[in-house]
Amino acid sequence: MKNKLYSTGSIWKSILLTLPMLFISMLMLSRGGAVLTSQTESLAYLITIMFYCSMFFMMLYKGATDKWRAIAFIVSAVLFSVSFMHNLVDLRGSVTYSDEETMMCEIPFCHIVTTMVLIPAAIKQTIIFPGSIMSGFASISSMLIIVFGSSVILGRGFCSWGCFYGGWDDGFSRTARKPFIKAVNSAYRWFAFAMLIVMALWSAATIMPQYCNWLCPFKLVTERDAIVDIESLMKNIVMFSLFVALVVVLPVLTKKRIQCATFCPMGAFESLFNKVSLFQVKNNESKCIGCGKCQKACPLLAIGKDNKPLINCAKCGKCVDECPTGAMQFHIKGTPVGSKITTARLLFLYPAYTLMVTLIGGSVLEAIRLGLSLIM
Amino acid sequence: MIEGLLIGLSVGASCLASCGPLVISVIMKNTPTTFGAYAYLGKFLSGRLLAYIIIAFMVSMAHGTEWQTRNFVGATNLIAGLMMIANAFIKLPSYCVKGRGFKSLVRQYAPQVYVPTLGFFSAINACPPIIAAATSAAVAESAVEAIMTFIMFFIGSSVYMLPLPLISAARDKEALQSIGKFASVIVGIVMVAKGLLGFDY
Repeated sequence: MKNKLYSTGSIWKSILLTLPMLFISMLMLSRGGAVLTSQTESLAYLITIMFYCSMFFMMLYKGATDKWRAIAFIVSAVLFSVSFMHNLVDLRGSVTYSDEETMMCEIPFCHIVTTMVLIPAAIKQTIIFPGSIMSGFASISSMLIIVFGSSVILGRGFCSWGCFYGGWDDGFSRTARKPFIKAVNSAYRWFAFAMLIVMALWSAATIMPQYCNWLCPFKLVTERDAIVDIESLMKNIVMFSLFVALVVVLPVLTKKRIQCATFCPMGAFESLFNKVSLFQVKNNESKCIGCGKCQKACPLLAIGKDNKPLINCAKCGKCVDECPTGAMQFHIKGTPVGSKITTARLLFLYPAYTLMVTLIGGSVLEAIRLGLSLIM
Repeated sequence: MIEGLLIGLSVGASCLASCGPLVISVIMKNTPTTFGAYAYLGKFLSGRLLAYIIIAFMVSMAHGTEWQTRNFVGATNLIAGLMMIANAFIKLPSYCVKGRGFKSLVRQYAPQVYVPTLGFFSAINACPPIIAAATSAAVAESAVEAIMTFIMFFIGSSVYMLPLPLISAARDKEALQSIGKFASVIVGIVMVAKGLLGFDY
């Protein structure tokens, strides 16, 4: 079913508007032509581009943002993990890392660590992460540039469009038809901010990214400490438990992205950019009938009692899709609320989707290539 | 003495990172006015000062190493951690509740004692700044000189804590209180774990 407010209405117009995304995808995923060296790689390249562009086309043609974004986001997250873990097995022979690998400073930098490296970098001019500053896969400088660049433009939109972990709990939060736990106390949204304060300061005090060290649930689907003593065993137990609880069980029970909404310090950090970011989600009060559908739909507990998006809105577009009167809308900072909302949505979709394709697309391509090489 | 001040000023950022989460959680949880927030900081620092004086005395008596035993520090971490978890669930009135009887007495004095006690137990630690100050105090010729070194260290390191109460000026008090409450629980769990398991970080 089409959302008449945002649908382009015609297939040809949708195709035309998808063309820029096609060119961007082709450019970003080509790696300077390096992916077209064999038949399998060329096919993987084609499938990846077709997948991303078809999702983008559907967003424009059907007018629904969240549904098609979620498919791309969830598939991206799962394939990212497949590709990442496969690369580790290829390089190291295991998905675990030892003290030796840590000492070699070859651990890929993840955006969540940003929250923990900033204070020591400012005070002590030290990056407290055993990764490469400039070279190699996921270097610290490249990730910081992407995170800050996207945050200024999209605010916390990074969490719904660029994060290569978010698709996991987004996926699990969509498995049940109805929530088993209907009322989630909205105060829990502030837990992530408490995590941010404590983790940033604790990491600075100990010169060690403690969230990654002890609490990150996504270590289970990327890389983790090798179990060599009681301490590493405890870390693995804690991370496994948190993954099961926050990424699988609670999202299934509540239909909310519990890990992203209440636990991730990066989410809280990104929220701070929402005040200054170029794109926002706003409630046009003149159209709002106060039905509260947006509040119920929001997977990040980011709609207040007055049906207005709060500081932690991740711009997934679910409230925009659910709103029966079109009061919830994408908005460009500095323009009047309610003016040219279709254009505002379109202008938001391009950079947001480009972020997803650029940041996660390469890993998706790699995973598809792996799958094809098993068949062909 | 000047050395104590310089050590405090040079490693104060580490003190802020170590003890900042405790102070900021207490301030946010109890959402006082900015003036009240500085009163909370003052109480916390008074407990810290008392702890430093005791450490300085012990250092001068035991030539610098004896007070650093792991069990001792583990116990103080455990107490501070439990106090932080308790902070999430109790409301500290910012005024004195007057009356008669034991209950009234507790309500009257507990708020005055709670935050300084928290400062005291969090300061009895084997963190790098205190070890640096203790190393300096260990070569002091007398207990008084060691204590003065630690007092100057206290002054130098406390400077970094001064901006913390300004967070109470934030408009959304409800959010501030929730964040403070959750941060208290997280800090408490971390400190209890450190205390029980004997981790240094």
